[in-house]
Amino acid sequence: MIPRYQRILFLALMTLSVLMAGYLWRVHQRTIARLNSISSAATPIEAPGGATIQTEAVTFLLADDAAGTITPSDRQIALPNEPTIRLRAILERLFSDYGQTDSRHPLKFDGSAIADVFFLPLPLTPPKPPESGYKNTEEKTTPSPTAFTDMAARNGYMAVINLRQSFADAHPSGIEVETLTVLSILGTVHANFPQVSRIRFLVDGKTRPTLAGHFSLDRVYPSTDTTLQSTKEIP
Amino acid sequence: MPWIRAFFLLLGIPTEECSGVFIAENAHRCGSPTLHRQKKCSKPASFAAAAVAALLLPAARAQTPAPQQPVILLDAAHGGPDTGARLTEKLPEREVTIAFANRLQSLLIVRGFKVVLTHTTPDDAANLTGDGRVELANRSGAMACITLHASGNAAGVHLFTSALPETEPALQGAKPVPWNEAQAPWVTRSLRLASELQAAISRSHTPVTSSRTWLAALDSLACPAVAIELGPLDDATAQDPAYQQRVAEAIAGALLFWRGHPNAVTGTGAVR
Ligand SMILES: [Zn+2]
Repeated sequence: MIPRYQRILFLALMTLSVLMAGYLWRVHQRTIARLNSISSAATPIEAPGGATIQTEAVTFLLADDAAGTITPSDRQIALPNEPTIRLRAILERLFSDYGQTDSRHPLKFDGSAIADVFFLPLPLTPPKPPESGYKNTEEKTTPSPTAFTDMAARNGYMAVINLRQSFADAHPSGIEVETLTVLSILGTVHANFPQVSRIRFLVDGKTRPTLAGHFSLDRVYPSTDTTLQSTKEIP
Repeated sequence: MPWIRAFFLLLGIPTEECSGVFIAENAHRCGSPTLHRQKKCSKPASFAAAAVAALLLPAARAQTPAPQQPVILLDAAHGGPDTGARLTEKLPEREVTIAFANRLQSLLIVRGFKVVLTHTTPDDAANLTGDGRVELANRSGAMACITLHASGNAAGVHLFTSALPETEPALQGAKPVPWNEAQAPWVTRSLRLASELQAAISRSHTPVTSSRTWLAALDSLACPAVAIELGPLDDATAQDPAYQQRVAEAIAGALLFWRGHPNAVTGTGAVR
């Protein structure tokens, strides 16, 4: 015979566990409902540090093989503020456009076209020996966002674009097609980085005589508007 | 005395120091203040001599007609181990450029030109360097230097001139000219030649574009220079004989016109 106090205790614990199970079930249902409402919502979740990433209009100078032209085209894309990452993101976007099969200037390559990019303050002179120990803190080879505009106001920058060898090796060969690729890069840099006055290319960190057998890739190019109107004379 | 030197130049007599002829090497010799044979080559004098020579030299050449035939330099690009672009699975660019160069050569010869080819078969370019081609061209005294390319992807004919900034004729010889910028003083004349070629090719019912580019083979040439890239047209590749013949005849016709052109002065032979 089970004592009476034990029976009461058992029933009390039993009731408590049933109530807890009911509560948990309700919380679970609520959570599912909340998650469903988030995934079906059209608005994206704000990324951490969303204040620095915002979409803005970027001008791309796009090559067109058939017409033999380079035309400016504005797109809204999200960009970071740091100049080197920004330039790299813009160029990656340009090349991803050319990587599409329906591109007007199709380029086939695997992975990323760019190894890295960096800026050098101009003029390129040998560093002066420090006269006193204090001045060194001001001189940086990698510009910070503010230093970038300060120094650009004086001499401008050289943008160095280090392409991947896999990209250069896979690039179609021909004066016209190589010229259009480089003019498109030069013009896109010019349109978005007014501080840059010179541009040069490396391929996997080395100079390369030509892009794909024709265009001289080992020179220093002025940053200019490379928009190319059609010069095609069709009889 | 710059005017005496200019007078000697008119007569074609070379003066020892600082003749003022605007080839890269002499310009370098006169332009540098550090070299030893500088007694009569003080900077203002050399500048004045060079400027006077630059102004008078083309005129002097025009007044005394050259006894030889006018020379056209044809450079079939690529060759030897450098096969160039792959136009189709079995057609390398070097085969097309040499076929086109040979075709153009005969059309130019019958029009009274002397043609200098950098090479004549795809294989004999094996030991020909890029600088070697340029040196040959700059020694030829050509009134036009044409370098020929072919491609499988950009339709029609494409003309290219050097993207080097044009230098003022008065500045020629005033400062040293780097090897890869020898074309700079010729850019204006090269652009005129390109526009003559474009007009002629267009008249032959062929789509043609003209633009500027950075090409090592053009930038070192000391003559009016144009690169011609023959792309596919409709169903024809750049190796199609009828297509090649049509373009070659247009080019030959344009060069015949160029012969009487005031800009058709010949190179002075900058060699490395
Ligand atoms: Zn070629």
